[in-house]
Amino acid sequence: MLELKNITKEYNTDSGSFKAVDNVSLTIEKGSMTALIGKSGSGKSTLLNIISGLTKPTSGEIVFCGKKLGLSQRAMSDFRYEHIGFVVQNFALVNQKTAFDNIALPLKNSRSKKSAKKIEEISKRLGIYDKLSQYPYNMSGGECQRVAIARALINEPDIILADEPTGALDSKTSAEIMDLFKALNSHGRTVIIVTHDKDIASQCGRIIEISDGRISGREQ
Amino acid sequence: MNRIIRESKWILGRSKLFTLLLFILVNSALTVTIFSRVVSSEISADADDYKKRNEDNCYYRLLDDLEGEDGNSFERSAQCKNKQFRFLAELQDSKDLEYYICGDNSSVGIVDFKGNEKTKRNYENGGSSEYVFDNITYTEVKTMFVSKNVSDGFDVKMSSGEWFDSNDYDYNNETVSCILGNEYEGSYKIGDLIKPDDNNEFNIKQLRVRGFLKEDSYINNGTQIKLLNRYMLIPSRDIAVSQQSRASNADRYIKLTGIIKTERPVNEINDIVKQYMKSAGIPDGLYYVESSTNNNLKMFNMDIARINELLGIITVFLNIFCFFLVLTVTILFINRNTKYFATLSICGFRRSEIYGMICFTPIVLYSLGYIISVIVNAVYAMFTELSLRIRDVLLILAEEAAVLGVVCIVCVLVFRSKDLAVSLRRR
Repeated sequence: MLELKNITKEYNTDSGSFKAVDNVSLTIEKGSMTALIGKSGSGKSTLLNIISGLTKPTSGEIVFCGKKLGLSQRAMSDFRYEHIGFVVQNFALVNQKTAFDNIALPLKNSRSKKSAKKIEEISKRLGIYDKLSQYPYNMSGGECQRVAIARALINEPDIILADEPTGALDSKTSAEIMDLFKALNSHGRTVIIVTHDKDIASQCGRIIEISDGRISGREQ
Repeated sequence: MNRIIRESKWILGRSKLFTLLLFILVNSALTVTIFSRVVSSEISADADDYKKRNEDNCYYRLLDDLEGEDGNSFERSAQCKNKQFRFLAELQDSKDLEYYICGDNSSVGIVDFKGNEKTKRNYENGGSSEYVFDNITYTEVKTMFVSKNVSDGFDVKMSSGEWFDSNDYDYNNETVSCILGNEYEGSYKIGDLIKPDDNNEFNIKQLRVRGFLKEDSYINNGTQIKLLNRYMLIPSRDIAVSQQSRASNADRYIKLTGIIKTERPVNEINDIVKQYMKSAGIPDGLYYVESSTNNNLKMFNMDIARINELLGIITVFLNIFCFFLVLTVTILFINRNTKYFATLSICGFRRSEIYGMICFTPIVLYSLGYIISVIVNAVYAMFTELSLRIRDVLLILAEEAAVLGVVCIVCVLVFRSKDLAVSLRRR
């Protein structure tokens, strides 16, 4: 489904150039659940950002469903809009908006009845229906992450990207969130999770270890 | 577009007061900019026109002093009339100066005046020009008797109809051609007959409209600019015709209170006029030359330059100030909201949509500010003599669009320099 070919991301720093991702090639199958693991600074998040189109690779190409993606800002943002749902460690919710408005953020017409119904359905599925009128600062970490996942799902993306989704949560809540991802995956959604937690990674069908920007190990 | 407007409105709603203050400032700056441009254009246009028409020339008024004992004694003398006509002939034939007959101290009462409320008012003090005599209502119309050369000499142009031809100057008082000022166009038509007061001092029986002057036509009479918009011009009879018995005293006086146009200084002109008087046999002192407006013109030009300069400085300062203020505020807005924009990015917002949101506030500020300031200036212009020129409005629109363009480009470049992935990780 998604193929990365010889992806490299190089940053220029005061002390010279630095390769955060170095010639990485990998294939993500449709409906798979993949964990990208590695130490802090290993390049796993950069790789995830490249997949999401937030970061432009220095070289290499991305093929999605057999089609090579353009690397322009426009092509990447179109790809992200149509196919990607993104969840991050600190939830990236807008504090001044209610849970409802946060979930509605990706929608083009958030005030329509259809949108409201969609938000209700997802929030019920994720167990946050009664929190829709609340602001993120009044919610727990687990609730915030559920809102973030609901937001990532609202446009029904093909791929869910999660960057350390349990990093800010206690173990009980982490387990609940992972159950959510597994449930999504069991319904055919492709999930890619970046984590440094081996327990979290072990719950995924496939583990790819990143070290110094390169793939250092794969586990099926 | 829906999402851009929705999110931009939400952002603006978070800082209503600040945005309102910024809007008032930008709007004020634009209003002053348009106003100063209007004033500047108005002054410059007048000054250019004035300069073009008056450059290198001095204007002197020839006046008489026939009220005193010497004057009375001269007027009683047998050859007075002939001497005056000889003097006039010397002036008209002179190679040292150009002499224009512009007798402007008269008015003629008109029966059944067709003018409107505005033209029925006195030009100088705004009072009514109407008077009743023998149960007939007359309207006094300011009248100027002009020689044929006035049209070329003062660049007086016609809006419709034609300037007087030679036949118009050879009249017998039965029907006299007249040219009306711009404000009478619409009230009268070319060929209309106008009935003057039977007791007019020039014994004119009937006037026929020959044409209308262009708006804001004027004559520099030596000490002031005479706008002719509400004047009636009547040909001053040829000297040969006047010399015959038909000439009234008024006719002669008008002919000898004309305007001298020359490049020479006043002292030289005085000497020349004295020489003509001597040659015509007129005693010294009965006619004299009044000083020129040329010095005033120079002062006037200097003032215009200063006013323009001052307005230009104010405008430039205000625009630069607004440019930097809006730019700074927008960059601060980007810096404060980078994580929010990163969040929007992961929510599927396209880059172009985020650029649109960043530029939304400056675009709204400048667009609304521009529209309101044009309206304010248009309303102001309606109640004043100033005119809001389309050219000025479009020119400022182009300038402000350029300023807005620079603000937007700089802000987009600032945003592009941000690493959204890094911002996303910030708490």
